[in-house]
Formats: sequence, structure tokens, C-alpha cells
Amino acid sequence: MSTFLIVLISVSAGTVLSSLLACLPGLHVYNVMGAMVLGILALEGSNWAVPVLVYLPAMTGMIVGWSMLNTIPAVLLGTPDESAMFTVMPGQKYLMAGRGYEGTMITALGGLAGAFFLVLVVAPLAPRYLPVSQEVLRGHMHWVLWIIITFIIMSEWPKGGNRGPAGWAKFYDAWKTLLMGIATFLLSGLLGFIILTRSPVSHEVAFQNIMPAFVGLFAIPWCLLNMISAANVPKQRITKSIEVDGDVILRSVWSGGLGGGLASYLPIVTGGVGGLLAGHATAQRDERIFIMGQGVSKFVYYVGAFMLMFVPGLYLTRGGGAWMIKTLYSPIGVSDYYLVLGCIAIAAAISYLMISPLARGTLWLIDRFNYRHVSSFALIIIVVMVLGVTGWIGLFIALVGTGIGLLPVLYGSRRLNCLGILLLPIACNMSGFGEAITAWLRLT
Amino acid sequence: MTDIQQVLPGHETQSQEMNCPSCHRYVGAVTRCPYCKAKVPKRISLMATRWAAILLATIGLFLLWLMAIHREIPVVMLGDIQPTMNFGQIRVVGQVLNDARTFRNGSMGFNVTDGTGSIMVFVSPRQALELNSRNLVPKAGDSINFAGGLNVSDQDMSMRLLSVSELKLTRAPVQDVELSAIHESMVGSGILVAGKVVDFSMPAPGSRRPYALKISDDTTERTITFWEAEYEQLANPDDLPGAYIRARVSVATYRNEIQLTLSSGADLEILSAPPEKPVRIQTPAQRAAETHRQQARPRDFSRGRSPEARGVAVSSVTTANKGQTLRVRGRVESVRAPQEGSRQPFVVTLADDQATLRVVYWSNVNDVIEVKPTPGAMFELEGLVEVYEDTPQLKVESGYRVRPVGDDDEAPAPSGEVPIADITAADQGQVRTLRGTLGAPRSLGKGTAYELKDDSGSIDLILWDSIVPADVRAGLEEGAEVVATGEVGLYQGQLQLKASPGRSVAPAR
Repeated sequence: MSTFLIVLISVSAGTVLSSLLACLPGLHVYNVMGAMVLGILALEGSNWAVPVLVYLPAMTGMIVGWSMLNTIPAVLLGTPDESAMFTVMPGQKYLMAGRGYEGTMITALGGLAGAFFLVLVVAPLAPRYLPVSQEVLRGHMHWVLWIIITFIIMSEWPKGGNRGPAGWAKFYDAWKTLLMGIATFLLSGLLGFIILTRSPVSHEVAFQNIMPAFVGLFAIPWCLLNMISAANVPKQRITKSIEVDGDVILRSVWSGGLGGGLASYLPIVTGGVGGLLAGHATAQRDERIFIMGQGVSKFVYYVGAFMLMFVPGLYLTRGGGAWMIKTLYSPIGVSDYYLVLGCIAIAAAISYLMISPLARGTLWLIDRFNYRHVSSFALIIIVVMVLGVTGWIGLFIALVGTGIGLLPVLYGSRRLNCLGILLLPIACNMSGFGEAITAWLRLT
Repeated sequence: MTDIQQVLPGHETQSQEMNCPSCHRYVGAVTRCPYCKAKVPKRISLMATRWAAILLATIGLFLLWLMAIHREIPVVMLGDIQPTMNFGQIRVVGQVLNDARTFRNGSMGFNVTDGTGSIMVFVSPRQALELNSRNLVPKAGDSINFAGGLNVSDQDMSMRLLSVSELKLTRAPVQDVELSAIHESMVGSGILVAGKVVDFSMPAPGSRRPYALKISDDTTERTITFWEAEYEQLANPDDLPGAYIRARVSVATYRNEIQLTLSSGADLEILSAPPEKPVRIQTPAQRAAETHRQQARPRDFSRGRSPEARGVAVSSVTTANKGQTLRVRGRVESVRAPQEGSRQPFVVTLADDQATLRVVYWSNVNDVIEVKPTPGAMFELEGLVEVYEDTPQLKVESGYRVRPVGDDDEAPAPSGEVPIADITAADQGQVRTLRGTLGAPRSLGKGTAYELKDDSGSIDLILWDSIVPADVRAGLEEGAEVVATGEVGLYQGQLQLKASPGRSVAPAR
């Protein structure tokens, strides 16, 4: 079989697989890819060894498919990952107004616009300018990270304290969400120090040692919340058109591309943080731009970060997908770059075409099955995956992460604070005092 | 509403939990009915769930922290490292390959081998300062035991030192050498030299030249070079011109000239009087090492004592050999030192593909062994076969009869030279020795690839910079006929031979 056909089949298979997986709330593509990496490594050296031309396009397709199709549970099931946190509120508004399908398609269109932006705008310029900017910014990342952390914490606003006589009770009412946000950030940062310095997870699966914590911080609290508080979803309308025009698309690409671009390029900064920064920077008021911009941002964040690994002269490893691929393969030259760009374009097209039938299918499922059961099923899959890959100790870490991840849910603060798990230890390490903290914690 | 249910006026829609589930009377906030004593279930306060989440998070974190600080980091052989161990924390027990180098940002790096592979270890600037202050900067030949974080990609791997407090270093004995006695066979080793400073030149500002300290003894002059980082560690650099000094230096070559390099300012001592002539031999182990270094030919184990015993494989040793003296070659699986104060022997487990053999020797024997057995390394040990718990055991009676074999010079290829065409995908992960002619070199960034050809076919020979010494790589050129030993791998569907650590590629004789 020719190389072209092998790549085409692999990328299509990866895209279809991840598109189906993306409909399951709470399940992250990186969890599935981690299990695949284990399988590929186990087969290495045997007669069933998986060639690079099979797994590389397939995994590219998985990342693209998931970043596009993850919109479905984010809008229709209200179970976003942290990078989609801003789509929940406007997206759920659409859902409760019976326009969940339209909201999903607007976000997906953002993803498609993001694919065009990446392949036609970023990709030709990246090999020329990104290596230079990387060289310039290399020594400055630590203070950039501290500014981002400060912005995340300071930009959270009080949600109470408006009524009643002045005094400590009113002060506490105003500050409790803010305090709990800071507590969440610090507790998750502490968890990050422990896991990154002296992880209890077995060294044999150390490449997945952060996964149980992420599952606990983000996926399990949302599944639990849905199981406890799922509202009845009103009858949904399937439309043949969506309420956007060229102006909305361009402004969405501007805000989403900026947010996703920041998240994919800066270390440790995720889509949610990038979206927060870009949202404030571009100050777009229109709800449609907000939803579509998140589609662009999510696509540029996940796929762009993966693409950076293949940019000739840069080879920057950003994001979980790139780190996992790096254990299997190191890109060389422009041919790999073209291969990945081609795979991104093909996978984006396939996944966009799949979103309408899969969104309809999900709406049919919601109509037919209890919303809570879907979340329960997702929770079981997540727990089994954590247990299978990292064992009981991984499950314990996920449990601790769940305790921390429930704090923002229960106190109404930002879930983004849970990203302290990476932001705090990495910023401290980059600034040169991480070791002092780990020594104080008796970890080193 | 039933007749017996009592509801306060205006509270008709109140929650059911205000009424007793048994007698249906209004009971208010109490949890037990004052009339019929039935239990009245109440809703759980959301505040309680919030505190439960905080409790779960803090208790869980505390337990995780306790577990993390008490967890023993597992010892992993470098040859067993898998890509899935990326970001993992492991412990390595091995030998330092080269003096630690200090980089411009103050961080440090050194290479370690444990007999199954080698790895570059990075030390942060803060840890480097601590290593310097505790005089724990690793030097070539030192035995080291440390924990670190792994960074593995499909082409190379490195480690970050986790903690200085968990680093254990046993210094290799350093030979005190006269300047005139320094020769090329010492390249790569550390020595102690002494003399009078006859010239001290500093690099011009902006220059990339090193500091040069020329010293002289009665007959010879040599130059010790070092960099800014080492200069700043010197106690009294202004006192150097004209002073008598003693320094622990590494012997290296630069442009085919022998060069002495100082890897730490703490290794240089200013003497108050002219140094005495080196006391050449101090211990039996040093004497053995000295003899070994001075002999160009492979080491003669007999040393005039007794003829070398018959060499056998581990699996060939049986209880029937009881009372015989045998020389056994195998890979060291484990080494157990006796507990302090006990009268136990050292126990080494030697293995080949089919069997293991328990080898024992006492501390006085261990003191004489020049290169101590380390797990994963190939060793040859000679001793008397005994029977212990119905299984054969080798009792080594002389430390001179314990020697490493393998990566460097004396170990034969595991299965002899094979034609290149005989290498197939089934050989992946196996060590093979090939003879062939080198094609044009191709840069791989952190290594070099050559096409290795013989009459039967060709294969890519990969030499990673971190694994194969620079002088070995420098000696290779297009058209040269070489014998190369390494592990067979598969990359993008093509077979390749990844050169083993050490002098695994040599010109064919």
C-alpha cells in the first residue's frame, strides 16, 4: 500500500475514533492517547510493531477530532474540560433556549476557522518567525508566567457582599469565593509540587503521572455535579442555518486565535487561561463571537501546540499530545511538517462533517436516556482508565484532586484556579526558587 | 393534608422534613419527634458538603505528602529505561564517567554509567553550589548513588538531579603523579599533581580562552586550564603566581596535546612549602591500579602468583565442580555489602542467560578489588567452588581475581562478528558486532550516522555523542574499515546499529 493511502486511512481512523470518544463527557483524548502509547511501546520489537506512518497521522487525527468534537459534551452535556470553561455559560443558555444544536455548530465552525487559520496563516509563517521569537523569549518566560498567575487571581471578582450592614459578615460573604479561589490555587499547586518532584505513581508509567490529578481536578467534579444537579433539558431544535456572518467569523478568529495561540506557545498556559487573556484583551461583547471564539481557541490551543513540535527549526514540545509523541518519535525536517499539516487539514474536514450527525445523535440520546446516566457512564470509564494505567495510587491521587476540584464548583470560584497544579511549581522552578520550596516541603 | 398533620398557618407548603414521618405532627428543626420519638431525617446542608470537600482535599494532600517523602525511589538500571518512564524519578547506582562540567549559567553536568548504559545528569545552579560547598562535585571514576528525574525522548535521555542530600559519592583513589610521568594512557582519569606556578594567564575580557596555570617540577612543565566558574571558586587566586600548589586534575587531550583540566576551584591547594615527591604506592589496591595503568597490553591476572583458572560460563558451574578453582564470567545482578558491624561476606549474584551464581568474598578481598562489581556490569571472577544450601557458590579469595569485562576493551562480542545481511528485525534489542566500511557521515544533531557496508549489505551505524566518547568518534572517517558493537534497532522501518557505550567502534585490524 502506498504511503499516501496508509496516512489517509490512519488519519481518518484516528479522527473518527476520537470524534466518537469526544462525545463522552469528561473523557480526555490524552488519556486515550496515553493508553495507546503504552500499547505501541509494548508492541515495539514484535511482529505487530506499529509503524510511525500509522500512529503519527492517527494521533494527529485524534487530537484534531477531539478538539473539534469536544464541543458536543461541552455545550449539550455541560461537561467541559477546563479549556472550554467559557463556552459553558453562553452554550448552556443556547441549550436551555432549545438552541443547543445551533450553539454546537457555531463552536464547531469556530474550530473549522481555526483549522484554516493554522494551516493557511500560521503554518507558512511559523518556520520563519517562531524560532526567532523563541530565542528572544527564552529567558523571559518566568516573569510572563507570574504575570499570568497574578492576572488569573486578581481578575476574579467578588460574587457576594452586596447587601446587609457593613462588617465582617459582609466582608466574608464578598471574599469567600475569592479566598476559596486562592485556596484552590495553592492546594493544587502543592499537589503539583508533590507529583512533579516525587510522584507516588510507579516510575514505569511516569509519563502519565499528572493524568490522575487532572482527572480529579477537572473531569470527576463535573461528572459528579452533573449526576447530582442535572437539569431537564428542553426540547431542542435542529436548524439548517446558523446566525453568524463573515464579520463574526473574522472577529472570532481574532480573539480565539490570540487566546489559543498564547496557550499553545507559552509553557503550561492552557486554553482556558489563553481564552481568559484574549477575552480581556479583545473585549468582544457579542455572545456569538464568544462561543465561536472558544471553538477557534480550543482548536488552535490543542492542535497548534501539537503542530509546534514539527515546525522546522523550532521543534517546541508543548501540550500533552506532543510530550506523548516525543516518547515515540522525534520529528525531522520539513517532510514531517507537511505530513502533520496535511493530516490536520484532512482531520479537521472529517471531524467538521461528523459534528452534525454526532450532535443529533447526542441530542437523541439525551432525549431518550437520563442525562445523569450518561455522566455516570463517563465517570465509570474515567475511573477504570485511571485505575488501569496508574493503579490504586493513581486513583487515590484522583480522589485528592477531586477534593480540590470540588472547591471551585461548590464555592462558585473559577475552576481555572486548579491549574495551579502546573502553573505554581513550574513558575517557581523557572524563577529559580522551586528547589527551596521542595526542600522546605522535605521533598528533596 | 391529613387530619393529624399540624401545619402552622401560612406554612402549608413547608418542607416535609418539618413533620414527623411517623406521626405526621409538626416537629420543626428537631431530629427526633418529641411525640412518638421517631427519627426525623433532615437535608444535608450544602455548607457541610463544602467543608467535606475541603477536608478531603487537605487530608488527602497531607497523606500524599507523607507518602512522597517516605517513598523509596526505585533503583533502575540505565539499560532498562523505557520511554514510558519519562518524568519518572529513579535512583541510579553507578560510576561517574567524566569530571562534572560547570556551564555558564552555573549549572553542572556529568555522565554516569552503571554497566548497562550511560546517561547525562544535569545539576541546577543551586545544587551545583551545594555540591561545591560539600565537596561532592562528581569526578571521573567516583562511585555514585543518586536520585533524579528522567527526561526520555525516542533518541536520547538525561536526568535532573533530584536532591543533593540524597547523593552518595565514594571518591575513586587518585594517583599522585610527577609531571614527567603523565602520559596518554592516563587520558580520561583523574590524577594529583604538584609543582610551582611559573605562569598564570587570564583570558582577555570577552575572550573565549580558558585560564592557564603553568606549573613546573624539577624536570617538566605542564599547563592546567580552567574556566571562570572554577577561578571564582579559588580561595586566594592572587597568591597563585610563584606559589607551590597541589591540584586534582583530569587528564585530557586537546589538539593531540595532553591537557590538564581543573574541574573545581576546591581541587587546588596552595602549599606553604615545596611539595614532597609523590608517594607513589600506598595501598595494595592502588598498587594494582598502577600496574594496570602502566601495562599497555591487557592486564595479566596471574601476576606471577598462580596460573589463570579455567574460564566457564555461569550456567556451567554445578555442585560437581565443588573444590575446583574456576574463572566465571557473567553479568552482575546484585551486590549486597555486609551490614556494618556484622561478620557477613559480600554477596554478588552473577548471571548469564540460563542461570545465576552466588559469589561471596570477605571485606579484605573487597578492599583490594580495583573496580567494584556493580549491578548490570559484566564481570569475571575467579574462586573456589563450594556448595551452599545444595547450590554451587563461588568463594573469591583474591581481589585481584575480580575484574570488569565488557564495554571498553576486553570483552568479546556477545555472539561474534556477523555479516550485515544476517541482521533482521528479529535481532532488535540484541547486541551485535559488525565489520564493515564507513560511508559518508550524517549529522543527527546530538550524534552522527554512518552507513556501514560489507559485502553482504549495509546498515546505519548510529553514534550518539552522549554515549560514544569524542575521541572514538573523532577517529572515524569515510572509507575506514571498522568493527562496531551495538544494539540493533529499528527506525522508520530501517534497521540500525546503535553503538554501545565506550569504545564500541574501533578500526579493524
